[in-house]
Amino acid sequence: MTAPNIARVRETDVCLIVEGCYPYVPGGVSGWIDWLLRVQGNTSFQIVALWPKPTGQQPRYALPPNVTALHHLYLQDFGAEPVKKLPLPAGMEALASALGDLMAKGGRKHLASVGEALDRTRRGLALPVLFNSPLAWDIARRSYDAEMPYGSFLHYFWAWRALLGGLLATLEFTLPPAKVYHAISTGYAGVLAARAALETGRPALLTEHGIYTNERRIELLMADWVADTVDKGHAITDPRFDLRDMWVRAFEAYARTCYECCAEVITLYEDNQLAQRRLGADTARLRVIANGIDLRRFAGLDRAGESDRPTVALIGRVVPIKDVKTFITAAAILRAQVPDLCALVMGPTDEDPGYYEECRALVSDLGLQDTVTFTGTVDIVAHLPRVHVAVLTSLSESQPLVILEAGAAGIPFIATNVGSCREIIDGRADEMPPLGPGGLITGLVAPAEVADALAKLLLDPALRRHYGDTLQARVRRTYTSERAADAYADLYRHHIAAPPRAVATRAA
Amino acid sequence: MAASGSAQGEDAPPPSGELRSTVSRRLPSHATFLAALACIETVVLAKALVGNGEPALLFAAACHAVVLALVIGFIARARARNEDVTFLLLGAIGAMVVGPVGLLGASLLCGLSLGAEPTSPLVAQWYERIALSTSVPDEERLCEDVEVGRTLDPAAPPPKSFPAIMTTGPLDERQAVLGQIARHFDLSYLPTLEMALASPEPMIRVQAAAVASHISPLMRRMLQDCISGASRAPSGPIEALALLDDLSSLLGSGLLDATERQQAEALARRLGDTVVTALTQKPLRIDDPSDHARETRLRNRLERLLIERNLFTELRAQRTAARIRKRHPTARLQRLAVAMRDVDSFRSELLP
Repeated sequence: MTAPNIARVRETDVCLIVEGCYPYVPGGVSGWIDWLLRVQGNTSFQIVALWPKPTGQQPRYALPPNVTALHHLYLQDFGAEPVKKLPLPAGMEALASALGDLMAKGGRKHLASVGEALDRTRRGLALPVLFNSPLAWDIARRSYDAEMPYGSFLHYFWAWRALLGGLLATLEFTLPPAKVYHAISTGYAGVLAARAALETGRPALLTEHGIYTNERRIELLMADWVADTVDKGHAITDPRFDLRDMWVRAFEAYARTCYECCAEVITLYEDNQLAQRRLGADTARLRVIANGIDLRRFAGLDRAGESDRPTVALIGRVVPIKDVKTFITAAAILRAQVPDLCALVMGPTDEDPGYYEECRALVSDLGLQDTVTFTGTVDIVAHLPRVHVAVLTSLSESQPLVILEAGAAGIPFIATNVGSCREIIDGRADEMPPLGPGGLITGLVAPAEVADALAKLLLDPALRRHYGDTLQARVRRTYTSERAADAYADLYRHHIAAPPRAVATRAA
Repeated sequence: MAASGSAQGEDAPPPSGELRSTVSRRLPSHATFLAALACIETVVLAKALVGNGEPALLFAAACHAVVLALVIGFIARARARNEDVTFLLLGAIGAMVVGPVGLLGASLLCGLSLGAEPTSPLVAQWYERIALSTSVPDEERLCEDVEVGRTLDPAAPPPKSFPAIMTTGPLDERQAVLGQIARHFDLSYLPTLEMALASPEPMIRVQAAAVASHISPLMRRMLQDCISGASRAPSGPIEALALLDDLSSLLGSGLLDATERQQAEALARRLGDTVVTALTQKPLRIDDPSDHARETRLRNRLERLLIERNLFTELRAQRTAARIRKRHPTARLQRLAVAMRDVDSFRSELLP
């Protein structure tokens, strides 16, 4: 038995494990990570950034002073050349079986078995050597024979190699020493956090913004790059295993491993917990910490008056996922009831120029040039006082901050039933005392429904004010930046002080 | 959170037919290199032979050593580039044994081999087969698919109805249905997609939205196809009815934007007029033994059109004609009496 594979650098309070985002991709989860690092100024951090291969990208965020190191874990950086012929070592059967179990079932037990089998089998060989060796080939062959001997071996081999490559890189990575390991998604980041918990005995935490496994599943089920090597026709329940199943199963297994090893599994809203529970997360470890906003920015903002031009606003990027066309179509329907309507689209238009052009063409075709305005990127604080009702017609969201920002300004909100929109607008199930609705929820791609909801609020000032007040009260009570920062500070404090647990050992 | 996603994209196999072996080939540069070294060494050795004494021989030996070192260095470089080093090794051995003659021989062999097939045809065929390449004849592919159990399972129960799965099926089946809709989109899947968009289950709604977004360019193309199909003056009312059916599905999806919807509605009206005008001349014969589902769909579409336009007499006549044709498949109905009162009067219009 040998010592855990831990780097010889200064220990920090938290090691943040992030995949495909901070500090190289702006916005979204990266923005949240930047916020977290800055609001936890008294906590020291190291960051492990997971990427497929070195890309030479420039960081989009300056690391705050409490971040002492940024490490990179490359998931698919193994070279391509067979290095040398290795004799098949003893224990190869056990390694193949353990890897198969981890990729198929996941869980703490199988992760530990893989670690032990890998140590016994590789006998000090560097991972690229092992990965490009006849040994790896032999494991692939055995897995293929066991799983889908009727399928295309060539396709199986490359899929297997891509999956296993990421897994082995994660298992090989030298862990930075920290008191708490905090992954920001499942996937390989989650496996690394699970491994850290297992090998160091320190607690691992997980914060999921979207449900990574579900996102991967959606992507994989729709992907054209995954070949269907078995003809199942229209049968949904054909039990024959194929490549698509292999990918989905692996990510579910990785998620299960992470959920089982993490001391706390945090998400932004309750709906996400359904998916986490389905993948085996223990209800007792689940927790919601909603994102929040800085209320001071919105304090004292005036509300649009009844004599002002009736104004509705979609606050968001002009991209297909926001379904701006539904908003424009709704504006066209609504104009029959509210002729002097002003419909603002407040957000950057340069991310998908093609879609922006389509939206402009739609405005022109519907004769809405005097009604719909694309403001581009603006300071929404300056614009909110002229907005009577704010709207989101998105096809997908996590926890949209714009609802909180409009709510903080006392503006009622109409949103599609995605992400946490319903939870913010109608309130969480455990809200005490319940405040009631702060707006209306519509279906997806439903312009007539959006138009009806807008008319209801625009034409009824009392209802509009009531909903605006309710949403404002809810945001002030539940969705403040301070509240979220305090929750994470408490979480870190608690786990940093926790005594270490028994550890599994690994080869250095 | 895209790291592993892109990793998959990069390292996963490309679509069928595009897989190629990474085994390197013999390169013209190897032959040139060996030939050049052979020439240099020949010249140097010739000079040494005409020279006198020990210094000339030492110079020749040093030159020979340099040449060998160059060959070995080139071999290392070729290995690093994953190139075939067979002829370079042959050149090195030849140079050691017979000097420039060995180099020249290896160079000639390498040059000759350049035009030859690099791998055995059998190996190439095998690789094509395991790569599921499209160049493999269909019958061979089918034969192998049957042999290994990759084809549609004839013993399997019939596939479940997609709307039924979407209503009562387990989550993973509902997600699989949505995946199927995204990968093999057909207009008849739209009602299922609509059900998914309105599902109370958040995971299904999110996936349905992703599918809707994924298929929207395809739907736009389908609308354009309908428009261009109609502009080519449809050859008959059945074609018009088929286009109308596609348009109605597109319109019913709710996934068209307002402009597209207006275009589709205008075209649908025009196609409806074409069908109704033809119908007043003669009942439509909607028979498609090769595609019963399409036949039923078109029948239903026609009935819906007639109901929408309050043409109930024509509807009764069309139904009657269909019934008669069912009983007398060879009957030829010459024209439809719009003012038809009963089946008898209609029958009188049958040709023997």
